[in-house]
Amino acid sequence: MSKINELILVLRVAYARAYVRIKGVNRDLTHFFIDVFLPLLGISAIILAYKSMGAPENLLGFAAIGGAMIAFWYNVLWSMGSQLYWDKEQGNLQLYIISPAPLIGILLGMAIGGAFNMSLRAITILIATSLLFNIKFNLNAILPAFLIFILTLFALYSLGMIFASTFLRFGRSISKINELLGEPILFFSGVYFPLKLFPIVIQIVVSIIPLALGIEGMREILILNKTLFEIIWILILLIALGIIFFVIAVKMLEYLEKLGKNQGTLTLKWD
Amino acid sequence: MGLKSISLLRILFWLSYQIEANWTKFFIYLIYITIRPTFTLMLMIFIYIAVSAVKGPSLEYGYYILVGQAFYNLIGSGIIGIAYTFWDDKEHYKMLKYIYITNVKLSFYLFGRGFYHFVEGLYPLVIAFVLGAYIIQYPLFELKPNFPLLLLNIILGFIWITALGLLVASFLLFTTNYGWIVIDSVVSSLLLFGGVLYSTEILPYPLNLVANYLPIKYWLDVNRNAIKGIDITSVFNDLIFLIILSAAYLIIALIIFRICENIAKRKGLLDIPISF
Amino acid sequence: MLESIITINLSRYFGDVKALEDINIKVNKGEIFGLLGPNGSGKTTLIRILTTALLPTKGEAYVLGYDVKKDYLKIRKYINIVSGDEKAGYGVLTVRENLWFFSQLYGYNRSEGWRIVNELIEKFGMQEYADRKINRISHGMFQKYNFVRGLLNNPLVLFLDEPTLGLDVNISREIRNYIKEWIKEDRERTVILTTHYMVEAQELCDRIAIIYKGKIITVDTVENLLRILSKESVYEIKTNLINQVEKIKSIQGVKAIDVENDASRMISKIRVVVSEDSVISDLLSFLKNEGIKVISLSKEEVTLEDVFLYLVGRKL
Ligand SMILES: Nc1ncnc2c1ncn2[C@@H]1O[C@H](COP(=O)(O)OP(=O)(O)O)[C@@H](O)[C@H]1O
Ligand SMILES: [Mg+2]
Repeated sequence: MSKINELILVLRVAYARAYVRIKGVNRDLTHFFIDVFLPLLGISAIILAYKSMGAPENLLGFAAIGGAMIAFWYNVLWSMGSQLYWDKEQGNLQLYIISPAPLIGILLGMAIGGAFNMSLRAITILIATSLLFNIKFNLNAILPAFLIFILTLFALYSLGMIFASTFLRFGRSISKINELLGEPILFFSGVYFPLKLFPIVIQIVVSIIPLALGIEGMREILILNKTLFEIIWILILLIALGIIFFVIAVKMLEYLEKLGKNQGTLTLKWD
Repeated sequence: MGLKSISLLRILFWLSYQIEANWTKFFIYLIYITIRPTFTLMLMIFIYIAVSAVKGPSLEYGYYILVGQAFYNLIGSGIIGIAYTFWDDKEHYKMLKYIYITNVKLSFYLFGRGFYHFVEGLYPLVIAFVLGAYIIQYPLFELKPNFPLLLLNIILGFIWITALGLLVASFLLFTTNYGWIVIDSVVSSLLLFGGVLYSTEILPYPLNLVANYLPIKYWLDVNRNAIKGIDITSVFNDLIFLIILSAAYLIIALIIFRICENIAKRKGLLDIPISF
Repeated sequence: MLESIITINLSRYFGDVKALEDINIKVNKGEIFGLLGPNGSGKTTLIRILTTALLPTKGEAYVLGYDVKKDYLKIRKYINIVSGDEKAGYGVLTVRENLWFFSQLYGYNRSEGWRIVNELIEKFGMQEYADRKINRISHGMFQKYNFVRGLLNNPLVLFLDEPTLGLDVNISREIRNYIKEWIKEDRERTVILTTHYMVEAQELCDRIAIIYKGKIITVDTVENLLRILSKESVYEIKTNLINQVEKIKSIQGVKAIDVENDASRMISKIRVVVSEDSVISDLLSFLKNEGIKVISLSKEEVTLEDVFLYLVGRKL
């Protein structure tokens, strides 16, 4: 019974955290347009570069999909990875800890809210790119693509939850870590080009990056007209990664809370 | 520029280094500043590789993108160096007040901070360039750089990049929350309109004209030629145009910045960071 | 059970720093209990342990009968905290939205949460700015919002860590009145208040623990604390600048002294606790011998501040 109550509380807190995140970010619509407009500039440049080299149509579609997904990675780093640190600096973390609500609810809410906000943007970006450059997707495969998309977000934001609890310990140098992880992961995820260009060893290694898997999967389905069964390994890997990352995140959080209570670091401010 | 300005510039250079690198050891800092430019360059280089995998290599494209993106990174660090620094100082350090008190011209202060970032950006540029050339298998040893021309061009680059940074900073005087967005828009637009990854001729009609009035296009073309080792006469027109544009940008930027600064001072915007 | 808080030889070390050492206190239900001490004396650390955010190094602590080490989940339902130096909340959200968000940490369902928040907003007269973002309201409004946030779960034990820090007089008074009303509403409630404002402690607290360098010096009611100096007298003397504090201390009958130097006006303000009035003439002749000019001299009412000075040896 008390387990059920705890679960209800986790979900309530997650809902509340997601709600305020969605409400806060979308209050000002200009933010939405800017979040769509700026990435569009970059993606347009890539597509034009492909066009000027006479690249096959497929590559344009690849870049459009990858480009739309970039925002998720930055969101995971900057709005998940550093969020608990900012919460600590503000004094919110202390209030979370002394409340009956489990911290995982807060993290879950951050993830759901962030994923929702970014999805609206990513889909808008994708539609805009396809209209601007007349890129065709296999619209019959929208549902399987959506499944891959959701699984990608699950794995990616679970990773984000790991970051959130781990990065808490880095203090102010968090922004440096985020910067260091930004572009390299985008590169290894092949956001603008097919992963097949990498040597096979690298291809295997990068399949622990949910972003890389998700982009690859959606390209196979939406552009290369593959069925879900032909890319079942991507599906399985994404589910496995999602679960593993989620469990690690929960464990990390428990460990961190214990450590923090022992050492006093959860409430101590660094600067 | 008098002796006093030079020594001031030295102080600003040192100050900038302290602010940027104080969080770690010099060696780690060196690695840190190369990661971003290098991987951004690799992202672009692989566009070329993706196409060559299908259509066979065409080194000229590869070289175009390689030089374009390597130097575009420098533009980024130059503009961000001035504009972001300015915004950050204004919002977080409340440093600007002290600059006024010490009687250093704000534009000169920004010039100094920007100079540091520009110089700092040269190091990852070289690393990324060599690495990129290796990846696309460009025969580096066949290059016969025209170093005087290259040096002249880099100086010209510093001038127009600083000018652009000052223009952005003028705008930032009046905004608090949108600082990053303004900077980002300007830098991203240059990627689109500047002939970085492709020749600006493929842009649709009115947009390709925009490119003609941006120094970046000429600047990158002179760079491409100077690194290959072409004698000065073949880029003469570009060079002249670039000099005129850079000078014009700088003058306009200084005037606009001065005007905005005065308005901001009159409105009392420089003392109070507005955001929370 | 009468007590809401009990600590037994409670200690907390951070490496070599002994933030708390052998704290033994009992706080009764219905009481406003003050922790009074200068910065760094361990007040916040004690509160962190009692609010289950930090484990003790040694000793025990019970809140409402629950052990902070083992039963922390039970404790958390019944407590809340308001810190004066923290800006808790999300700047992009309004006062109302922030309050609702925090209400959800306590298991209310959504509509219950809104109802409670709206009631509190009305009760505390915050309608005017309830729908403004919290990064756009004044410090005073913010502290009021913060106080109301602490009441969201209708706590039994409310921890107030310097709740009026940096607030202007009116808002401080308003918040102090809320505290007094809140505790009166229900005899089961308890307030633990830390402060380094004497007046605040004097006005609000039923009992005060004077805490210094991690140790409790004494615990008592305000009247009893004042009675410590019932035989002594307190004087305030203005002179030109002096630096003979140590020598004055060694004069027989001088129990405690505090000197404030105003370098710009070249004036020293001396406050001394003496065992009897005659000691003052010894002090005056000492000053005369040292060539120091006395500008004014007055006998003062004994305050909590003097008691603190007497007990701890320094000003708060
Ligand atoms: N998490 C921590 N890690 C290390 N030292 C700490 C920590 N928290 C408090 N301290 C130290 O413990 C002492 C008491 O601090 P604190 O309880 O904040 O005092 P107060 O609230 O009375 O000002 C100080 O010396 C402080 O530096
Ligand atoms: Mg404190």
